[in-house]
Amino acid sequence: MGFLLRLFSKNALFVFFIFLQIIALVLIFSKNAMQRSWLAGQTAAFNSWVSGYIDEGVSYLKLKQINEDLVAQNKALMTQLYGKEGVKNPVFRKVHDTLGGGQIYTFVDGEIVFNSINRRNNYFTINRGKRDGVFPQMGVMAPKGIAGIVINSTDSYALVQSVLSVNKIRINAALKNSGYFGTLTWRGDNSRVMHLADVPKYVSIKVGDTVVTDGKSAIFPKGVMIGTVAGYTVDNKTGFWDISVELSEKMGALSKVYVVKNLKKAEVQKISDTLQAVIKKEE
Amino acid sequence: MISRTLFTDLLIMIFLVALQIFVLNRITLFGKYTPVLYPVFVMFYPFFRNKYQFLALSFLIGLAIDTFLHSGGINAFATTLIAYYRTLIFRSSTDTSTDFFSFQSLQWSQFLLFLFSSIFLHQLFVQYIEFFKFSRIFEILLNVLVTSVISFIFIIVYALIFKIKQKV
Repeated sequence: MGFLLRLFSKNALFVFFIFLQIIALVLIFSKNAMQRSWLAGQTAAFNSWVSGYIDEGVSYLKLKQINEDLVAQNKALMTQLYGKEGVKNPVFRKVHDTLGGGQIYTFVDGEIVFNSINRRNNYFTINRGKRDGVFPQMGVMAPKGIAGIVINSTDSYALVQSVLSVNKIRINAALKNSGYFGTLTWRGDNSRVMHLADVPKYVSIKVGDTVVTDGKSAIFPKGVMIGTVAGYTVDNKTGFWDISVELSEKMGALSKVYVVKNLKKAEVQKISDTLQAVIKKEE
Repeated sequence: MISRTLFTDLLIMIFLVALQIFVLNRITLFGKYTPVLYPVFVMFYPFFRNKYQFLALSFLIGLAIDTFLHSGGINAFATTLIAYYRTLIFRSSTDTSTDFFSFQSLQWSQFLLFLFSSIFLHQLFVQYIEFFKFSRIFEILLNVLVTSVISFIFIIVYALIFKIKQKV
């Protein structure tokens, strides 16, 4: 305080000068339109500059609350969007001639609700069940190729064994060009590649050949797309071709599937059983 | 010559303000330049008198001009400024560093330099604050120069008439 007083008394003339200048400046900025508007503009700019920072800080402090609000809103929207899907009525396709005997397959559309591709035996769940006519041992097709086989079904959901299963899936597949068939299995390494075995060595194969189902298993219709030949070697143990088949359907990106319903399955089963009985008798 | 008191100071102020407002402000040379004379009050105010009174009176004369011209406090600002820095301007006009200030001791060239520096500074502040536009900085500078030169001539005439150099 003493220092301040000394400073003032030593520079009293200067303080007086500054005092007069301040009065003049106040008058300038209060009486003249141009200076006043300039001052108003600067004040507004400064004000918005400061309050911009303040707003940012305040909104940062509010983030948690905003987050919670957004999560609640998300939850409501998700309930609205996804919650009702299970009760949608299924659409049956190609059900024109089920009684006349000409039609063998019908299809039920469904959607994947759970999927996995990275285990040794993979499964996915679809939103169709017994109520929609989905029962075990039915084939499941995706838009671009086969996807799996139903192994269990509840009233409104079905569990599907994916084709990406090491020991549990053996699919009868054929080369579209030559017609030779073999057994398609997965070896558990690459989710895009399955292996076709049991094709004789003398059959000529090219990379890019189409592989389809051969229709002999009563699970898939004949000629459903599976994939294309990606490479082939001779299997030394069996003497047959070992063909790598690149699946045309990306199993990791499945969403829409169709369940294949074989109307003649019981009949086929019956005749197969008699064959089994004959084999048994012969033994 | 009667000795200067606060009363005579006020009389001189009234005279100068009246001269500035009612005579000089009605003169426009070359279309737009107006001579400014009233800062002679600050320039020729006797040295070694009460500095506070000097500052206050300078502020007042500027304010009086402002009141007539409706220019807020622009002239008061500039006038108080050159009043406060008068000794500094005076010193830089001469090559002496003595504390003895008198126009009698000055050569004419130094005296004229002091006058011109003062009026130029005064006009510089007045006009830049008045226009308040940086985009017109050179236009304003030209204006300041011409006004300073015209005013300078009027100030010399004033100084000659009242024999300032010899008295102060």
